[in-house]
Amino acid sequence: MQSRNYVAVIDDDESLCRSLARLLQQAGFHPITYPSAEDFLGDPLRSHFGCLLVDVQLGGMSGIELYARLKAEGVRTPIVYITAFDDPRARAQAIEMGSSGYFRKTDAGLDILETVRRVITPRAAEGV
Amino acid sequence: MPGSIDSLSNVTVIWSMIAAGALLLGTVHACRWFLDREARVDLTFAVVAFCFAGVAYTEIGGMHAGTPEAWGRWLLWCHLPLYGLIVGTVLFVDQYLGTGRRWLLWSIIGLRTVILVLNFSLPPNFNFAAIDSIERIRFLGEAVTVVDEAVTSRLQFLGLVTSGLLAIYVLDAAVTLWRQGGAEDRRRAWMIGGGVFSFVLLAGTYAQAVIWQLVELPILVTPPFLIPLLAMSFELGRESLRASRLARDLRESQRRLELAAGAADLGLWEWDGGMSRVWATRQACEIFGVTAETAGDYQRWLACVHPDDVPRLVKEMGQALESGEEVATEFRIRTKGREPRWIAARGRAEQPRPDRPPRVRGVLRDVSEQRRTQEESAELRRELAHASRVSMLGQVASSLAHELSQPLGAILRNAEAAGMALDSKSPDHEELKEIVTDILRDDRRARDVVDRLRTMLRRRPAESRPISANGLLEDVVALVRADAAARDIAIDYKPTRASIQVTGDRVQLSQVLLNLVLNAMDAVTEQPSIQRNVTMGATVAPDGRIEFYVADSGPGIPPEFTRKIFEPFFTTKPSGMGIGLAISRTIAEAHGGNLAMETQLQAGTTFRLTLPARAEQAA
Repeated sequence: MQSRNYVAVIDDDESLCRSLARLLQQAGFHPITYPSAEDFLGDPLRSHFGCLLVDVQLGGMSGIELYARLKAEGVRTPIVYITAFDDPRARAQAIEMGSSGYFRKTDAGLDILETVRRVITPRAAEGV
Repeated sequence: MPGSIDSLSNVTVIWSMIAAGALLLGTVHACRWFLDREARVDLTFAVVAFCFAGVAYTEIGGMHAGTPEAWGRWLLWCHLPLYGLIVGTVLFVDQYLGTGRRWLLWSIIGLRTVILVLNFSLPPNFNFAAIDSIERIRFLGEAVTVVDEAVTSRLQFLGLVTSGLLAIYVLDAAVTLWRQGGAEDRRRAWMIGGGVFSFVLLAGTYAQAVIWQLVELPILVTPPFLIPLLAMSFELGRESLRASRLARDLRESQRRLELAAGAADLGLWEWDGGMSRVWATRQACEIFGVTAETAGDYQRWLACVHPDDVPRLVKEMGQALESGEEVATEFRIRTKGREPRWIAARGRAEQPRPDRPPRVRGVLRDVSEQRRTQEESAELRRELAHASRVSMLGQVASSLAHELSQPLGAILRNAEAAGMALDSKSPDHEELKEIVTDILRDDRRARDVVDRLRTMLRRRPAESRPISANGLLEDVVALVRADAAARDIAIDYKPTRASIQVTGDRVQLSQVLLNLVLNAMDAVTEQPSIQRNVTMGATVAPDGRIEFYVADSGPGIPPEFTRKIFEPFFTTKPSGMGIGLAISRTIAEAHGGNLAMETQLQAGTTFRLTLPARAEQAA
């Protein structure tokens, strides 16, 4: 892979996925969208992502569960949560687990982009 | 010694007393007939009684006669009242028993008329062709005149014939009535029948014996006639006693009726549909505001009724008159200066006599208070349902927030992306167009959520529309999905056939299902994570009704609560109002269905909302 910044966008809302992908694209990232955690896990190329933007509320496996699974596999791709709720319990749980960011869906896009830029694993850029 | 006056003339005294008594009786009954012209039997009896007095008079006269000619003359004049007596008696039997043969009646009357004519055409009288001598004998301690030597008239046998016919007539009438009638009729039969028959037998035989000069005694019709006279008088007395008792009972009954009607604030009315006349009690007039003078006029009553209600009322009354079914209706009446009052009227058509037109008879009362109370209750129920709805929607606020933030978040991202695109040197117009399209679509999505929320929150009258069963379920699932996910509760929605529909108010039915689902979610919250299941769906019952069910895997409802859960204000939740299920059941019943619950401890609870199927739906 070239040195491009791959970002996974996982949200069960199609319109939101698309809009977030557009934004990332404008910002120079390479977004790939998945409608569910299961779809993401089924993609063999998933280890190449530099960052994951995940909704907590997903049909089926939740965003939190996905991260737990990845950690169990030893995957260390940074994960940023974008959620409709601002549930303090979920937020605390996410941060405790080591997530790199926790945003609401209505938070400013620039903030999200900034966080992604900051945490995106340079390793992906190395094209390993 | 003709003409001598004894110390006490027993005959005269006795006969006079009898005659006076008869005259009195006759007068009494004549007066009664005069007051009630329909009581013809009283008139007949009066005639009989007067003629009886007349016969008694001629008998006394005869018994005091000095010469054969005088005696003959008394006998001649005796026939006049005698005619009245016989004819009157036979008419009385006809009127009072009603079972005599008419031809016999007319034969008797005809014959007696002939006898009367003959009596006055053939001197000295009907019974004798010639009276030669008279004699004085002792009778009741007195000297009376009797016939001694006389020649019996040849036509005298007609008298016998008439007596025989009379006997047969009376016997026949009495026996017929005896056979047909009940106890009352039988008494009449043997009183009158027996009385007259025994008179005919006694008087007839006796008189004939005297006329044939087998015995030397005065001709006496009066004593034996006392029997039927007294019998008739007794019977008529009974009749008038019965009449006065009936009148008293009637007055009593009327008083009771007015008392009852007054106590219940009812007005009684009667509409003689044939002549458009109305009868009503004072109460009814008061309720309507119709004065007593104009109360009889149907148009006057109709004028009080609210013009919008008049056609319906007239139609319903007309229908009741024709069909004979009960009419139960409510309508408004106008009152001067005040609000219209509501009147409830109930009645039924009757046909008291076949020759008269049917009439509608019923009650009416002022139900304005009742209606107002009902409306107030309905209003309160609506407010309560609304409050319950608002409270429930508060519980699903997080779901709603989630539903809104999806489209809003997408719009924001799209706008930001568009902003960044426009900053670049050559913006991709195609991309921008797509962004705008997406924004518009998401705006629509957001608006729909807000609209749905507003509809649920608004207080509005119930509608009745066809609703898809799946649509109803999906609305509720959408409302609770986020909340369920946050609480880690699995909602298993089982859609039914897409064609299944129910008729009713969407908001109210959603309210019921939402209530059931929220309760189910509360029930499973305390359960271990894998056991937090709520299943919902709809099925078609064997009788064609649609059954919505919400089942939870909670601990079940303890038996001491199972009957109470539908009661208002019963709740086990600290923040609960406790009216959700009560209102849900009311809504279910208002839709013609019902709400039921099955529960099993340790296994869970299932609520079933059953609604009637839409008519056009194929089973």
